[in-house]
Amino acid sequence: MGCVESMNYEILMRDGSFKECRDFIKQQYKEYIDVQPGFKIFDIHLIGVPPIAIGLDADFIIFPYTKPCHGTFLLRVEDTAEAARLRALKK
Amino acid sequence: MQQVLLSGSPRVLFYHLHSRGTHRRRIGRVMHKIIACGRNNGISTKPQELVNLSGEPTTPLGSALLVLGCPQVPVQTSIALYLINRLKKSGIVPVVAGNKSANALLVIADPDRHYLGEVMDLDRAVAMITEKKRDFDRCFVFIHNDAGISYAATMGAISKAKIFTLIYGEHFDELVKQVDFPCTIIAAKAVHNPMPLKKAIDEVTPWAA
Repeated sequence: MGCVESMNYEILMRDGSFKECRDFIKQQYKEYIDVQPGFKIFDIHLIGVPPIAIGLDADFIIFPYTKPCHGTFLLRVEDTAEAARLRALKK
Repeated sequence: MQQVLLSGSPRVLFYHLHSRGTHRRRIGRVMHKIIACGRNNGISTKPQELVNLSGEPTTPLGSALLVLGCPQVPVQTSIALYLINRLKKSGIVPVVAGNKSANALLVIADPDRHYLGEVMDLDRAVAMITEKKRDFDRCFVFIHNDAGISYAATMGAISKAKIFTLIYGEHFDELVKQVDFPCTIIAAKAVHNPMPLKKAIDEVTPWAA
């Protein structure tokens, strides 16, 4: 799963700033982890100002996805295995 | 590279580069012309030759990554070519990383690669640096929006390179305030005219040792 386009994703926020996306995750989701830029999720290296917050909601993962021309999108993707991997990193 | 010549047809022509020969195909009112341009769409991929100011070959003194932003603001392509030239004259090998459009603007403007050397996809560059497969001595990040700040912060976190942020555009001063990571900021209000940003770069001389 190397390309975002191939995922079944939901866009929670579009064309926002990176800070808005991070604040949204920290306010809306009780469960989140902070990672460094370049952290790999779904074979994507995350772009952003550290720390980058990744939200977890059951099997859903909420993460920022930045494109040079379109700013930062906040995506919500369901993936049981990836959610379990991220939870394991918290411990 | 084989030269592309427009025939006298007033119809809209789409030129498609192909490696196996020259063909013409008419579909409805649109004519497709397929032209042999050799390998790699006729784009020269000769190795970079560094020369000093007097034109003599020189040994590379370092490497620099130019991280391009969205090419929406015109000064980016011009400043990138200027910076590439100055870096090469100082013996530094420049590598460009951008999205498809930003890279294409440079590659198409410099088909014989007089200025450009290696050009790579931005996501690939981030992946290679993160996975420690490659790194650079200097990294120049072109910034005119929030995404540019994110890319610069990312480069600062994943790379050992000295980071230079080139901040421009209509609202450059607001973007400068968002930079809270170690880097050298080069900023100017430049949108269509690259001269203010060029002057700011010349004052910093980031190609100097």
